[in-house]
Amino acid sequence: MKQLSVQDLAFAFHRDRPVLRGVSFAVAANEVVYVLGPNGSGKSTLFNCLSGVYAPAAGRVLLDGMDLTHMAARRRAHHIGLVPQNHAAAFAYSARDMVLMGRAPHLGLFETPGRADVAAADAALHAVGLSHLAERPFNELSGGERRLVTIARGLAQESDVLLLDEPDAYLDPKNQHLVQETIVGLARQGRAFLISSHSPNNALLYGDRALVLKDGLVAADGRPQAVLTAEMLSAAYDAQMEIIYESNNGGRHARAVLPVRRDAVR
Amino acid sequence: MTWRSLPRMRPRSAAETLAALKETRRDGRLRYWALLALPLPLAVVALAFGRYEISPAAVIQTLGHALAGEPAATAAEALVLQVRLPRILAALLIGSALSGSGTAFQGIFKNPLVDSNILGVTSGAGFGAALALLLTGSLTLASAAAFVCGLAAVLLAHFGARAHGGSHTLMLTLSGILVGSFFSALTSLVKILADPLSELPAITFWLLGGLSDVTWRDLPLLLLITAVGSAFLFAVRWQLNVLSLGDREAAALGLNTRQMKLLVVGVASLLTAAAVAVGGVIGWVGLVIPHAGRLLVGPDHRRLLPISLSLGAAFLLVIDTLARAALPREVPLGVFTGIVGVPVLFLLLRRARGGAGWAE
Repeated sequence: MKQLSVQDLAFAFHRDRPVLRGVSFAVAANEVVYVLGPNGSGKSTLFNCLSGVYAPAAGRVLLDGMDLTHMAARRRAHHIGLVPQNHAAAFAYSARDMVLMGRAPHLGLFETPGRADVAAADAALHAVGLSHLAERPFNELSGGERRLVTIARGLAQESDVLLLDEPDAYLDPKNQHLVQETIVGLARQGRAFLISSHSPNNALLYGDRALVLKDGLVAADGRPQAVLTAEMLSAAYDAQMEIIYESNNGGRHARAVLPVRRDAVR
Repeated sequence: MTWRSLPRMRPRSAAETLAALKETRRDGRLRYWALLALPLPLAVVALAFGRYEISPAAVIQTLGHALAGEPAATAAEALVLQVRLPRILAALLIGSALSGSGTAFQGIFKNPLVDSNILGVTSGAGFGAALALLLTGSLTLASAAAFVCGLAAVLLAHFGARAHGGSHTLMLTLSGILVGSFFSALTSLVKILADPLSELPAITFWLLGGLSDVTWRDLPLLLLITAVGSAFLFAVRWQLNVLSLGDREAAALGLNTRQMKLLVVGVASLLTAAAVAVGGVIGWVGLVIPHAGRLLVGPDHRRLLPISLSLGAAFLLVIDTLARAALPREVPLGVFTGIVGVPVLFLLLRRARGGAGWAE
């Protein structure tokens, strides 16, 4: 792939309360884009529209000029994959079986995965560094391991774009780091990653770009260092935020985003 | 940094390696095929078993004669071919149908607690049979009415859920429970109206399930539906894994979830309705057997579905054979499956201790 382009995407559960009100942006291969925004800003809805779970009311999703908006689910899944958050399977499938399900778009209705599919699943598990856990029940893995297994499932799907729904949620700092370093490493292999997150800090640390949604519109889009300013974030989250900068060679580099405490002693 | 240089989360310990090895041995191919073939030897034993004892060798000889097209020469041969064989085939088919549909329902509702009655099929069928027995007293008509009303109940549950919209699986479950309760209430009404001396015993007996009245005539439709239905479920066994992830994920993985679920629910309901029409209301098989299967071969439907089909057949065959031969008076099947099935499930669950194949 070269470019995923989203044009004026709109969606509403109820006609008078639109969730997305014309979202436009473009993502190139090898890019890691963090989608930020307050609760209810439309991040999950955007992902659901892109992955075909919801049909958008208006707008288009183009991949290298090919229209994905009304494509059949199976064909679309060849191009866009979704890595859900906080996943627990109803049944205790092994990690390998979970990853293998990523092959679904490549198989017909009455087909079961063959040797090539198992090989693809094993390669994906290897890519996230979890080959040794292939036989273990998915539900017995740690939160970080589970997150990596679902990412491996996205890799086994072999889609051009992977949407990751809050891959940094519910993880301790070590696992957050591990999961996001893994994503950054994988992005250099031709895919594009869209990551929804509640952490502007992670966008600063790992993102090539930040896309900030607010009330169903794009409030900011660009390099995290450039667009994640105190004014923009304060307006987006409706809470006063400040940025901690580090100065280097006369310039300054944003390191962290923090909320401002009322009555804080400075 | 590339993924190659990433730190591994946990090194593989000796205990883990051992557990993995044990797992491989546990899921051995031999055991899998032995479980699949289990109903065959059991059927031969069941043919020999009964108030009138016939040796297994004589049974095999009789079957050989029958296959060669020779008519039954002795009373024992007639007993095997005309009385025991159709009943045993019915037990095998009904066991497979109930357990296969239970497995499919548990898969798509991603819930190990649902069984073939989740959408009210059994309740609908029970009402149909009770009404037919009240109005006509004919067992054949009861069977037909059970089949029709069972499917009508599922359709009602389906359209009830569609009218509500919202999360489809949740609405379907709710709608199924409502429809089931509605038909149970109607069945109670029929029982109140029935003559307590003649009609009520027939209705009660039918509702408790049993295969004592099965003849060759009952088998063709049951065989056709069970064969086609099981073949379909077998063909989509891996897709059941994907569907069990839930609608959103399955859709993102490219499955047409609405169409797939409609197909699976339709086929599983058809299987249940066909089973109930011949055998009456036989509970527990569709709930207990998928669990037993998961404990034996794990939750992957590629292995679980075939094992459920054969285990269900074997289980109902054993229960029916005990019901007709082991006790001085024939016990209704629905009662026996509960009395035997529940303790068996308890034992299995105690043994499993957490490794039961479903999430906490």
